[in-house]
Amino acid sequence: MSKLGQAKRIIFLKTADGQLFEVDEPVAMEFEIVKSFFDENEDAADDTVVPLPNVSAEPLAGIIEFCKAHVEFRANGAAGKDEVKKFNAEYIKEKSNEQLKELILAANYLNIKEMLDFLTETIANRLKNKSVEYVRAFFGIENDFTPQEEEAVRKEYEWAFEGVDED
Amino acid sequence: MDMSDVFPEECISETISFTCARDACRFSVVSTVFKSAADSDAVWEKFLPSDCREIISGSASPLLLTTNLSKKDLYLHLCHNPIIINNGTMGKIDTKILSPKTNYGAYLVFKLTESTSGFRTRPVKLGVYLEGIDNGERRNVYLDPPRNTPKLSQKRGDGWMEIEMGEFFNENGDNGMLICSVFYFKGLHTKRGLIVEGIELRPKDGK
Repeated sequence: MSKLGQAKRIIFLKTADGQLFEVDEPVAMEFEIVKSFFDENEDAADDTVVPLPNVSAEPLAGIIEFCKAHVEFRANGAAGKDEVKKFNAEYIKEKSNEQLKELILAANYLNIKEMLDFLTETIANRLKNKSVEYVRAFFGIENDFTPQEEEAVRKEYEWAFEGVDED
Repeated sequence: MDMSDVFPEECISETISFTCARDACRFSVVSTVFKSAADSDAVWEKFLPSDCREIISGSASPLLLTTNLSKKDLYLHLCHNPIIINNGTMGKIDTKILSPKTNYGAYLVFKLTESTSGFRTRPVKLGVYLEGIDNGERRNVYLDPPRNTPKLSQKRGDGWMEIEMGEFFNENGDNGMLICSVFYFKGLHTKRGLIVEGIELRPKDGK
């Protein structure tokens, strides 16, 4: 950890596609995986580069943007207030389903609970009242049930299939 | 690319837990990984009221707590076999003991005796509203409708009839008390032969 007192410490992160990010310490410490890296390597030099082999640059940039804003909200005592909701709504508005999925995978790997909750809730809102086929296409999932197994589950919850949205 | 290989099951169940019971049952058909996530206790715990154990232990069926039902089975059991919490023709229930993000229907459970009179020609008014925020909206229903008119009440399996009093969408359970009332008509007409067993609240499919 930095012993320099007032000086702002920068954490270096390297993504799977080889990009180097310079992130303010409080923001980087939002990532549980980065935090435990430094907890376990107390002697790590200040310019140590933390490798993130499961995250590429694009989702990481998005995650840093989100966490930076939320660290500031907390510092300003704005957590839970309307401006946070407004920021979250804006943040998610322009994101495609594909980008959302990449953000979830990255946030899950980096282990950022607050952001993961927010992202999964956002995906849930996009899946509400959608058909099984829509969900398969959304996640790119192959149906691995046998026709008999699928039929049995469908039959058991027949009531859950009425009136779903058009795909 | 098959996302289920990379998309961890806990992210799937986390996502499903932000939907509703109906979505979760439907999504269990998506794939085997989805089924396992959609059936998990982690998901159904979110759909049950947070103080579910307390409610059940104070109800007429406390033995439910001693069974080893999964959270999902418990939820579905309660939908099909609601527990009676309050008796009376004015039901009052704290919205915090209802499941969040769930659309509830309130039902009057009743019987008309053979010698009933007065309920064929005059409606009763049914209202479902939050305490202190009564917009005065009522449903006028005939408990004993004349022939050739649509029957709103239906037979339950247990020998009682039920009629929907209204619905209520419970967002977070911080709406205070929900009141379900039956208002009888006033006037000189006599009415008799109505036995009310109680008012039942249960999640409604479809929303």
